[in-house]
Amino acid sequence: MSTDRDSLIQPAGVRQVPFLILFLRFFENLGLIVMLIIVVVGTSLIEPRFLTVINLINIAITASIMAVVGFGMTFAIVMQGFDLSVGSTQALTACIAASLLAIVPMPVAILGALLIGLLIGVVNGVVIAELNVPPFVATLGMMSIVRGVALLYTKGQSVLIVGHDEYALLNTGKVLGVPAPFIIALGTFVVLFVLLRHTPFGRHVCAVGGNKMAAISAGLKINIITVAVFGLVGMMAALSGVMLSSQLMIVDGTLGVGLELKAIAISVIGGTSLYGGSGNMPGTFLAAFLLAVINGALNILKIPAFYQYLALGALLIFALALDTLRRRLFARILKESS
Amino acid sequence: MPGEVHALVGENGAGKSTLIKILGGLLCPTSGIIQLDGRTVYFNNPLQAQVAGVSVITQEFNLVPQLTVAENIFLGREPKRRSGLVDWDTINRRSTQLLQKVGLKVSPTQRLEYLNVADKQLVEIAKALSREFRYIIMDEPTATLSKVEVERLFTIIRGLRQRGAGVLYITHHLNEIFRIADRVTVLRDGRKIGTRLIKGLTESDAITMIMGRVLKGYSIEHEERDETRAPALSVRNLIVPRALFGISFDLHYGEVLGCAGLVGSGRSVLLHVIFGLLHMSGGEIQVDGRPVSLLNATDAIREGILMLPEDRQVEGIFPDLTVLENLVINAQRADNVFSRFLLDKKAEWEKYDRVRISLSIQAHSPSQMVSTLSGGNQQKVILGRAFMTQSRILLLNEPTRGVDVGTKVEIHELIRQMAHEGRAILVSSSDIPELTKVSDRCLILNAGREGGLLVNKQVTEDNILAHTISQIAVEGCAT
Repeated sequence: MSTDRDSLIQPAGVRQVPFLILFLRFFENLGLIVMLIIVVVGTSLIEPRFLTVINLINIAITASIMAVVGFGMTFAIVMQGFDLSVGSTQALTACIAASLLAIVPMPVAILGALLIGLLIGVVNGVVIAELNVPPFVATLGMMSIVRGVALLYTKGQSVLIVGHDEYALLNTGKVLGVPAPFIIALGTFVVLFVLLRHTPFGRHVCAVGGNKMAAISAGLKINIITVAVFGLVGMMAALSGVMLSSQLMIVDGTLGVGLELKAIAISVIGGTSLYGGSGNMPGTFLAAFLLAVINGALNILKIPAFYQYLALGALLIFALALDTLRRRLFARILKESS
Repeated sequence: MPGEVHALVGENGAGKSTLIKILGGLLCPTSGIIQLDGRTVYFNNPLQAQVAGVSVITQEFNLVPQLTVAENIFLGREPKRRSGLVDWDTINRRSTQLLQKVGLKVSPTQRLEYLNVADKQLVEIAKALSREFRYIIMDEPTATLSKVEVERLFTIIRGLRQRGAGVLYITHHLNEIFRIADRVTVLRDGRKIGTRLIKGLTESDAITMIMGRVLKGYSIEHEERDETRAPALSVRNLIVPRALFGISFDLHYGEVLGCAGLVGSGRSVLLHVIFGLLHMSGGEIQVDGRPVSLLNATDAIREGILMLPEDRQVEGIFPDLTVLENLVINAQRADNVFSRFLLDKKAEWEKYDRVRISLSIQAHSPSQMVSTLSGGNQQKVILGRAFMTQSRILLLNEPTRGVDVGTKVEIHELIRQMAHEGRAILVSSSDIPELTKVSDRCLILNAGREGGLLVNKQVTEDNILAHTISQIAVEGCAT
């Protein structure tokens, strides 16, 4: 009913956003899909084995684990921060989940790992919000601390998960042929997408990242929002830790090195601006797949794994340059159209 | 008072913005109390002020560019559905009504960053109106609005007054006060000068109250100049979109040209364009009669133009460098400070001594960190840069902001002295007495247009103020 009235009371001659901007914004996600298709088609033309079910499932699992971390990271970036401690958190929570499995039922073990992740994130958030430490420094320190804890906790040894078939199902299970990790990632995506786009909390996160003074003068509780966001990032890293341990079934304290770079990369490649204020969750999901597909392609084309670092770094810098370019371009279009 | 429009006026720096920040809960007073409806209230944060019924439209926009118009209006007070999700139907419907009320023709679902400044101001007004309030504070709401939009705002204000709301209206434009306010309070230098009823008050009464005296300020001895020589700097019909609309003037060697205007009148923009930091979309700049193209600061410096920046903390000083390093930062090799590639220590020190003495900078050593100097001395260091270079055209932006009275006089003398030595100097300042003390002529900018050009004896505080704050022509002024 209200939508009908909306169109009626909208005054005539409403000023529109320049068409070019709408077009370019639409193209953002489309560009990712196009790149995804190019890589998939290109690789399978050179090496048809790329399209085998096993390979595609492996790529989907890698992408899903990465995407879960990326969703959390997107929240942090929307708030004009980021979290460098996600890799260490993934390692610690994977080890904790693995060792808890030996003594408590599976749901309790998973819950325990998630709570540890939440705790790490909350500590990050409190340090950033209450002690006014920049996110870069706070999470850089936390990255080292958590890594140390993970290595101490495992005494530098590997933790083997034996006999928990139901835990392995988190990785190998399928629903209607769709791998379980993808379903977990999809579920997380839906929840966090709604949280960011359609709840007051999500809108407030955008407000804090877009204009902190405006958020303060609107009476938002910035500190609580900061703590909540970093708590969420930590919990998402822990979820990825659980997923990773169910995939590997043998974990140690050195997992997840460089994960923070990947998570930031997929958020930015997905179209979330490092300037904060808005986030593109579907873009993060797509970019996780793009990165996994590129890695998968490099693997199957027998290109040494070292090149994956080059590809990731190049892609990240490219995405950042594109982000700045996009802002300048939009500003220019607006200036000229008004 | 409820049901009243109360205007608050005063010169730049009189304390108006600080006062409303306190009333809005953004700043806490160190002493004193606020009474609302006879009750003493304390606002530690903006939320408390809003709950108490005070709504503020601030001068700096408190809007989030990445959110939609509707989200900005209801930020922090989003209507929710039972599921806890944002109720978009309600938010957009109520926003549309509010936008219609303020006369803004954009869709509520449009992202705010795609609006222009005037539209953002209207969104800010709509946001303030959307709250429950009994008192509303407007800090220069008309600064960016067009005539039609101002009329609509006045209609809204009259409606609010009828409904019994109290409106505190801050402005620089005297004519607005007489049109909309019931009473006016004048602030000067952080003090209340007086409160008057608008009825029976004349514009010149108001100006006298704002300025604090009726007397004309003294003028400097103006030297005869050789007007036949080509002007050092000649600006013709300069246009910058949304800022300057056709500015023309000449600046001669040995002359100080003042530039007056309110905040937003385009003074800073003008200087930035001449220094190559902003680009013009139309017009011409000539140096020594030659048209020049100034694409960046390097071009400008090559043409002998030097701008000494407005905000020494932000644009001016390198706090972690020494006094000497700060002085020579603009120096070119041609200025004999560099010996080829390395800095020539001896030449530097010699020059430093000369500059320090002629500027009487209170520093015990050239290798002292500049951040340990007082504000006034830091400002002198910035002025000293001009001495270090061979720039012939100096652009000074707020040369005495934040310095004490004594240093101010010294700086004014320095400016005169530099002009006497044959440099051409453009001084942009919001401090009107300062302009009367240093300028031979004074260009007045009014909303990006030339508001007049005062020559020699016409350069008085009254004349400048009259030209900047009212549209009424003052007799005897050449334009």
